[in-house]
Amino acid sequence: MIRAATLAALLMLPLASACKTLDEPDYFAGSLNALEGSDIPPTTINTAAQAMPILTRGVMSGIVTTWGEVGREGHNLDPTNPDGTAQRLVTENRAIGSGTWSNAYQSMRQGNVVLGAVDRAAPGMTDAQKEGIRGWVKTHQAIALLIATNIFDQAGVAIDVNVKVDDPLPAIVTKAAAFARILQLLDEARTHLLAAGSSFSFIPSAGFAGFNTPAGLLKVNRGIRARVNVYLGNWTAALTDLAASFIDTTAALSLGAYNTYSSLSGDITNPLFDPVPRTQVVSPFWLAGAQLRADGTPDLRSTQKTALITTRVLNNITVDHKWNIYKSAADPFPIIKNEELILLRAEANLQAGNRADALKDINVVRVKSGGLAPLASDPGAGGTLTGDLLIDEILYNRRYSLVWEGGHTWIDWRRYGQLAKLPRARTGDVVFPYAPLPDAECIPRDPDPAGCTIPTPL
Amino acid sequence: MRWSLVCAAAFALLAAERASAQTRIITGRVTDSLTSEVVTSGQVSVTGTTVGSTIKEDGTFTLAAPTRDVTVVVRSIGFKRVDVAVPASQSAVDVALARDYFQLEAIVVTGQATGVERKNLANAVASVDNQTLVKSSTSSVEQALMGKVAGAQIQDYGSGPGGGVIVTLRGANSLNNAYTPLYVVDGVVVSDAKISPGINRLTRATSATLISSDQEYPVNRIGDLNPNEIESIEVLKGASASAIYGSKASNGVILITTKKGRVGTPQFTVSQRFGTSRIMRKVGGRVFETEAEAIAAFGPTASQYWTPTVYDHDEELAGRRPLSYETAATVSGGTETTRYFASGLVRHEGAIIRVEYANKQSLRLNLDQQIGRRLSLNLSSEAIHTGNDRGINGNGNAGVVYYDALTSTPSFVDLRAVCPDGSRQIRCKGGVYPNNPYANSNPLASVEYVKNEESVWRMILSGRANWDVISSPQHSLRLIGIGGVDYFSQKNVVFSPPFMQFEPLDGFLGTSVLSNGGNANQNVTGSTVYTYKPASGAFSATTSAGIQYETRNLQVQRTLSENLVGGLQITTAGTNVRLDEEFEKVNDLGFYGQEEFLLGDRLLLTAGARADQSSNNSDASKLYFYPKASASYRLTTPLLAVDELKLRAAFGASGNQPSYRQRFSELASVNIAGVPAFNISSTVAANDIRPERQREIEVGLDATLFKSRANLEVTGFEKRISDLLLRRSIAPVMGFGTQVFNGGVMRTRGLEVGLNMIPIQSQKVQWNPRVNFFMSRSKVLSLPVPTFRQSGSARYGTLQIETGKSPTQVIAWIPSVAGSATSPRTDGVIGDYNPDYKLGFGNDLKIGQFNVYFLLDHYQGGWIHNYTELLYDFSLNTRDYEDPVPAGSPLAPYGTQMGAARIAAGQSNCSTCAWVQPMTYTKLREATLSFELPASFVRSLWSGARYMRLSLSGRNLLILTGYRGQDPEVLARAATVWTQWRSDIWPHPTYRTFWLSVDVGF
Repeated sequence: MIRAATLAALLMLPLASACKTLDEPDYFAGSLNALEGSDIPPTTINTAAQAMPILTRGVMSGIVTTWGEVGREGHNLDPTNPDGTAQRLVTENRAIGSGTWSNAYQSMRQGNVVLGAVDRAAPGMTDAQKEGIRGWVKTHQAIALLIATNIFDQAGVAIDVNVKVDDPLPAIVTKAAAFARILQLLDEARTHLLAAGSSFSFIPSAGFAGFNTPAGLLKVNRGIRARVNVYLGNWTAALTDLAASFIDTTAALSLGAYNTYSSLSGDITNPLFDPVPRTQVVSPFWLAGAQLRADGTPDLRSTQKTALITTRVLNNITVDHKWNIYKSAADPFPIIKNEELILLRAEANLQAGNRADALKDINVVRVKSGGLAPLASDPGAGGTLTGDLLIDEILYNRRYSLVWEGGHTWIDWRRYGQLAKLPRARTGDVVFPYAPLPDAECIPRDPDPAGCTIPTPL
Repeated sequence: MRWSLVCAAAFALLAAERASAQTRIITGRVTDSLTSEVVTSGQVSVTGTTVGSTIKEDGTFTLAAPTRDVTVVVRSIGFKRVDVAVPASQSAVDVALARDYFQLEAIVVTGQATGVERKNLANAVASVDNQTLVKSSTSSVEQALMGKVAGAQIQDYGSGPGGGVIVTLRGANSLNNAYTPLYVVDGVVVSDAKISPGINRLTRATSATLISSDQEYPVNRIGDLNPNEIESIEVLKGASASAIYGSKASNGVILITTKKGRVGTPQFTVSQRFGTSRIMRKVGGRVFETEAEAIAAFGPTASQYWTPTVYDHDEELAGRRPLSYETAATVSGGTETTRYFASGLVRHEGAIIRVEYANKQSLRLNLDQQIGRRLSLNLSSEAIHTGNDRGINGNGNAGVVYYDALTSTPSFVDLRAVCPDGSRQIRCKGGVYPNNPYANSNPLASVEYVKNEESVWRMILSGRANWDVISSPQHSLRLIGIGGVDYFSQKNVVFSPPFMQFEPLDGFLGTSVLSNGGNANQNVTGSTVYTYKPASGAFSATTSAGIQYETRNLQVQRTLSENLVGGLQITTAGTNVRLDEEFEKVNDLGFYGQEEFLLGDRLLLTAGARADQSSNNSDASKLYFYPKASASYRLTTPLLAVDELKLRAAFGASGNQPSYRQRFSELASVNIAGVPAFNISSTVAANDIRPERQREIEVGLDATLFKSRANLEVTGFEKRISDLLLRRSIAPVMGFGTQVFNGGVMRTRGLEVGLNMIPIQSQKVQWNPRVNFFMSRSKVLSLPVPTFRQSGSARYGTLQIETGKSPTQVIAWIPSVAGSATSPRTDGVIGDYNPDYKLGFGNDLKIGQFNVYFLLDHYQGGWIHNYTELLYDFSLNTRDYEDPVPAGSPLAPYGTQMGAARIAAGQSNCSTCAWVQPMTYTKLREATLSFELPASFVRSLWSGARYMRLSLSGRNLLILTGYRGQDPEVLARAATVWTQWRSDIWPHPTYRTFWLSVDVGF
């Protein structure tokens, strides 16, 4: 009997140690479930809302080096990935836009989860605070969708993405439908912001300094809307939006909303900061295209935004300048800035027939940004690009003012049907008009959407 | 109730046994029937009693047997058992034991606490004993197993010194989850964790914001073990054998048993080895004959650097012939009640790249203590210290990895240091390394100044108590308690001083990374084993049951510090500091029971089950059941050349546990310039994550042929793996990248053949060739989601998971019109990653005092992406860049020069014409020539010496392959899942190793 008891005791020993529950929580991160139940603590919602600019900068920073290269602003010459240039300048494949696509839809997902959570917030979050979060989230969603639409263009994008993971895949819609949704998001955001009181319950990132109240953010929102309307050719609407934006010809051209970075643990540094440089260099075409100032020196934008380096050759591309735009690892880069708004107004005015107003705005940028002499008069028709020298002048200024900030040249020249005129460094180089849908989006769909086909290069 | 009955019955029997007290003494002498030398260890017992004794080192034994006629059973490891009838009148016996070459009578583990003799075994369990294992010196245990186990695929993923090996058993076991086996050392589940050193900030293999990635060739920690002190390794390859290990056993279980002390005066062995190594295949670079050619490839600046001299950068970087050494010593001895085994190892492996090394020191003490007749205690303890520097190898995006830099560095550039006397040398005092004009780093400078050091302290302790509650000829009841701890702490230091050429790249001069990690595994197991053998001996039945509790606790903290004040290495010197932490905490609880029934030593029937809970499942309290059953039957009547034939069949189920964070959909904690934020992770998990389930059926036959001159084992198996833990790439439009859930079914079928022969067996000559063959084929039977691809573009080859197809089918670009360079490309299946078959051929020949041994390892089929060649090609710097494309080559339509044609093919429509290449290879894995000095000579040197052996051995001496890269076996990374497409991206150069050893026993 004693032995049997000892035996039992021996057996119980491991059992006893196992009597506590086996379960272990996630020590590593928060849980998505925290945003999916009901009575969600306001702090959790605010913390999730604060991630929106992180996602926005993710979508935006990824396009600069790719589409900036396609737009012949610069090159991304990486000796470690020497075939990268070929993928951007010779043969396009479905990988080219995959990062932008995923980042944009992560932003949409984060936004939709936060919007859902706001509706189920625990008591303690006021209606104005909720409206503030909605306005903030939808503005960021509109930016993400806008970037995706710019990149995928004719390939199309998805817009109704607030679905469950196992639901059927949202349809790929046309560019027109995407722009309509972007405008809708921006306008919904406006309504929310107007009802959001005087301050936000969350902390907007430092890049929104000066625009970190509902009223301030609304000015950014209108600036983005103006950009969309210019892209759509809605010139009058664009002028209305601009009037409600932070456009100011007397303020610094750099005034605006920015993507910010830091070298803090848990944050990232600016991937466009490439001091040596490792990969990011200036296209000789871009340098050579700079207009001359009165003293015969080139446009200040071409000298101040670049610096001389030892000549380097990779894949038969020869370069000798690096970028000098992002001067530290924590330097921000613009989501939208005053200089772009002024040029948008110039373009809208010009296209609406107010060429004199356009000329005034163009000259503000020419003088302040490029150190160039103002244009004395409307140059009128002519030239080898669009046939209208004043439009060419706007495109020129956009190319030099917004260089290495988001593939603007490529988007602008496409709007005006001039991609074929982009210069080529090597024989065989081509220009892709847009990115095909990524593999990961095509493989699960049957049949492949038309956007999966690789577009004919120019 | 039931237990008390059993116990009551047992006491009665014990009382009966004690009554017969009259005994007589039998003495005996045991010899080897082949050589007539004495057998120095083993057991003797009297049939039908509990009387037993051990063979002493002089080959004699003494036994207190009953006075009647008895049968004495003599057994010794490595010999066949002999039953000797000893009439009541006889008191001395001479016993000659025949060698058991095929280890048919060795006990093989079949349960948590039970085992059966190999000849009855119902599964194809591979056993590798110490002699077979340690044929030459290796960094790690798994390397020593390469080519020796049918059904095992063992690959180096780093090839640097210090290990880094993945083992897979019986082909594909999982699509997306863990695929490497469970390791159990002396009953304790030990950690095989891989903790990355933290070089990502230098290499930028993945996102520059991460301190470490899985592409850093971390050493898998099973490599810490000292192969010399392993008595045997048993490999339970699939669920039919491993079911008793439950939800961690789908990938097989590798049971390691360390050596134990033997009764007798202390016996010492000392083995001293010296070795060196040499780069095996150089990558090489293009040779530029003229300046014009150099300018054409590298631009006008090439004229500044061009000279007609060709610098052998591979030789400069990895041309060293290092000195390695290994000292291993053991002592073993003891009495009937206390036995001990102690061993020590000091090993230093030098490397072909100067800065690199792998060191190992270990100390083991195994104690066996008998307390009375019923209680025995075993202690197995080991302390290990390993250290290494593995340089900067593998994938990268910053020109800092050695071969990353060399890829774009033409052979006319002199990278050597400028010495104070003006000469150029690979290394000299006061030398200054020039900046590399064609890459971000000078690898020779990196070797000199960049550190990537690792230091691990590890302790593996296990204690075992066996209590024979009942021990009678008919009944035995044994309680077994095992407790064990496996703890290690790992420290990694990565340091790059501020003056390195690449340091300004991120704007922060100097990089220092300090990682402190560790893992603790704790195991507690309790088992009871009850065996019933009726007096008739017609059958025996063994019932066992038990419980096992295990915790695993892994934690790693990393500190990255940049912009180092004064260039100091200490992390507090940096102005830009980043932290990272890994965390894993798991609790498992399992219950098991098993019944083994052996009828007439012919028929073995086994049935058992295990039930497991784990904190890694979404429902931590849910029990998952894993049954098993097996049968084997021996036909012992000789027929033609067949001496004995065994037919066997086994079925078993086991699981493959989710990993710690797999069940969570997470909100990552991040910030934007200090503003905290919750960022939804790109992985979304189902809320009912559970283990994968494998059901395996194995059938086979084992035959002993030609009067014990050959042994053939043929095994076929089929595994159905259901509830697969899928990591599906979902359409990114959903806002997530990956979805984790259980679903789908996969099947793997395979065939294993082992043939072990002794064609010649005489006192002078013994010849033992061995062949093992393995093939497997897998198929996805159902998939609850649409076809999806593993990461990577079809351009470089990728794997596509598709119903009805092999999970390792390789998709790549193929021309829509075969052989046409201009036809549009399609994504097509080009083959399979999984090998067609694997073949190992070992040959052991002993002639007199000489022993010649070699092992050939052949891998047939499979594909790999030669990214290294792609990168050299795009840098116009490949060794064969200008070679003409031979007529008839698949490259012919694409161009006239090899490099340009590969680029054209690889960019247009044909991956296999360019960089997706077949893997097929044959390696001379091991070769040893040894000489046993005559015993008389050895004793004349020193009277205490028993033997002395000199040997010359080598590893990875030759490779025959059509693969153009360095080594198709070396993987770009320790693939996290089996179905991961493999790339050759700047791996550590592979090398041959040579060892000269002296082994002495005294």
